[in-house]
Amino acid sequence: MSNTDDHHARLVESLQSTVPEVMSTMAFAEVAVTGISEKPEFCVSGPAAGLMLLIGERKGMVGVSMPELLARGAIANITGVDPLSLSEPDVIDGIGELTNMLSGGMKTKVADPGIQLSPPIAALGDEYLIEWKTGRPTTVLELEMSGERFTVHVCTL
Amino acid sequence: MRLLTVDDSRMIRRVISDAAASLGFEALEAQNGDHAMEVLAANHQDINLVLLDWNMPGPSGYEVLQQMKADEDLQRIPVMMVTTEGEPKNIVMAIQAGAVNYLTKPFAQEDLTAKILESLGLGGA
Repeated sequence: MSNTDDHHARLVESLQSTVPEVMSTMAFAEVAVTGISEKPEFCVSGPAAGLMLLIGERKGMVGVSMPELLARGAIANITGVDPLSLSEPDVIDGIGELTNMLSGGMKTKVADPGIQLSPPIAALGDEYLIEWKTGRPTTVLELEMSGERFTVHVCTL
Repeated sequence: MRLLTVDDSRMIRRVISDAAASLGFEALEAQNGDHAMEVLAANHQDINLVLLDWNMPGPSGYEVLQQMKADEDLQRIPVMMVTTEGEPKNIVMAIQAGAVNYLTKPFAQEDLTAKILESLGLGGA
């Protein structure tokens, strides 16, 4: 296994525990990893999506994609606010911070000084696709929370 | 007691302000380091604790901590880092720079309130 492949595997492994930890600690939600798949490209869709770039010596991207109601539910659990009364800016902010915590937890677990993270990017909308044309495969974690499915994507260069 | 929470995430500022309210404390908020220094300049005599994120637009929380400890009006105010930066080297850096406590995100509500009290010298470890 090459150094890059090993690094990628460590990121994937760390996210498998980090995602449930973040969601259970902050959002009081149980998360189960239901599958892992490989895709030929990094492609994330909405309605709610968060992205963070790996901008240090180790380059790549981490992405989260989930239904809007799931995002609202998680943010509502964290803040104690009714999920449907959250404004769109509140949801965007929450998606960004959740992505920040997932990626930050991954970084802490892997403990590689080559990993530095960008500020989070958050998106919310009805139908869109975000594609990062790297020519590199992406590992997709399939997860379930509160009976809903969401995905976490990792691509390394 | 009055706290200042400094974080670019509105969600996190709300969680910390709500925790402060649950303890009977007042909370001021700042969305970045520059804003925090403005709030501190205007209110430093009444602020008992600063809860400081690390990664923010503009000056980092670590840089804000350093600025506070170099300022004779601000250096007495205890600072607790609240951040996703969970690696031991970052914790050591912050403590060596003068932070009195450190809480990594994600955090449980009870850990947040316990560390707030601990940082204020009002609770045990």
